[in-house]
Amino acid sequence: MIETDEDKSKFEQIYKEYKGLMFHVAYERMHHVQDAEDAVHHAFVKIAENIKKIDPVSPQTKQLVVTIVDNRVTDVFRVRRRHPEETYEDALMNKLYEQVADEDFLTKCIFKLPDQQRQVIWLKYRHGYELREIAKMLGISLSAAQKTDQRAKKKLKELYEQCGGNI
Amino acid sequence: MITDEMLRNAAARSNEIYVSCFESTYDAERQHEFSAKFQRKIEKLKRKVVHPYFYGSLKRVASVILAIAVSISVWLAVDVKAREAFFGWIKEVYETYFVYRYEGETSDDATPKEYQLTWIPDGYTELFTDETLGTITVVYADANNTWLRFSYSYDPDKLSWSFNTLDVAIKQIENGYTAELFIPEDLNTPSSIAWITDEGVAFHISAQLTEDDLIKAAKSVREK
Repeated sequence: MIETDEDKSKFEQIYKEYKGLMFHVAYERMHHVQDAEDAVHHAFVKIAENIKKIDPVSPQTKQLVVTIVDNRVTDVFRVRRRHPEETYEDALMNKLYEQVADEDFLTKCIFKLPDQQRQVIWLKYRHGYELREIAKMLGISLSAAQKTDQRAKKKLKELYEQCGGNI
Repeated sequence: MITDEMLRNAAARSNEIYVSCFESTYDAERQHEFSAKFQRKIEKLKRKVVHPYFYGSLKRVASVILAIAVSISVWLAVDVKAREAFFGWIKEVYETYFVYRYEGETSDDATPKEYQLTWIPDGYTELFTDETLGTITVVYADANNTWLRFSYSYDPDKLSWSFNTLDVAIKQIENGYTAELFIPEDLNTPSSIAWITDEGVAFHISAQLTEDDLIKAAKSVREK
């Protein structure tokens, strides 16, 4: 949690720099202003709790905070056991698939993972967090984080082979 | 075979693409104007400390505040007489909180001892360990992600601990040492227990447990 002036300064910079983008991400998926604000607030709670393990404003930090709010949206959808109209998520995924058309197989396969598995992969392999830290960041148990990581890698292996990647 | 390096590269690239996809439709000049409610919550978050009854450090206060009332109906006149000294620790009592501050001698050669809980409630597993400002905190969680925190200070020269006493019942119990048990009126807020050993080590456990289980956990502390 925020303990020092340095923590507070870093938090405020991250908040100022990324709050708008985080809301945009949440709203693009939820299409509900209040829900999107709640998701952003929840993400900043997680950022505050883990502020010591988060770098100052940078492109990598931008990707991290987007991943955190993205995960919160996924959680909300899972708890409510419903998604907004399919068109929102479909439109987003179609746009993503267009963007990755020329990327390598494994990058494409990551986008075929379920949301939470993809987010755990990003937090672990892109941002370098340990599973304990990921569990804390996402508000899940360590065992849940471990299982999600294992399932994600298993799924990636299957998808990679289906996509024609070398064994 | 997918190597870790392949996975790192793909994760980095895919994360970058995902964010750029949203950025392509984001206009920073026309950001969302957050509601007043949201902004209040963020301001509150900025002021929040590690634990409502546990601070890692506190600014020194030049003056003292008279009279403190706690829910066990004990009045303490706050002046120099209210500063209890034991094992190098000073307890300063204020209106809505009190502070343990170490003013004894410390040794630069001292090897930090490590402690552990030898009993935790069923269903809890260790989540992570944090070391900050001379305090080690071990966090356990159950399947509902309810946390149990066990903290101890091995370098009290860097430490002052503050405990909120507003809307909290405080009891003194014997758990091998005289300990203070904090039971908040808000049932959603964790209870906690704090004590200092005759070696000058300060311990603190907070969790949503019954008084009996909290005391049981406290009594289970052993050196590793």
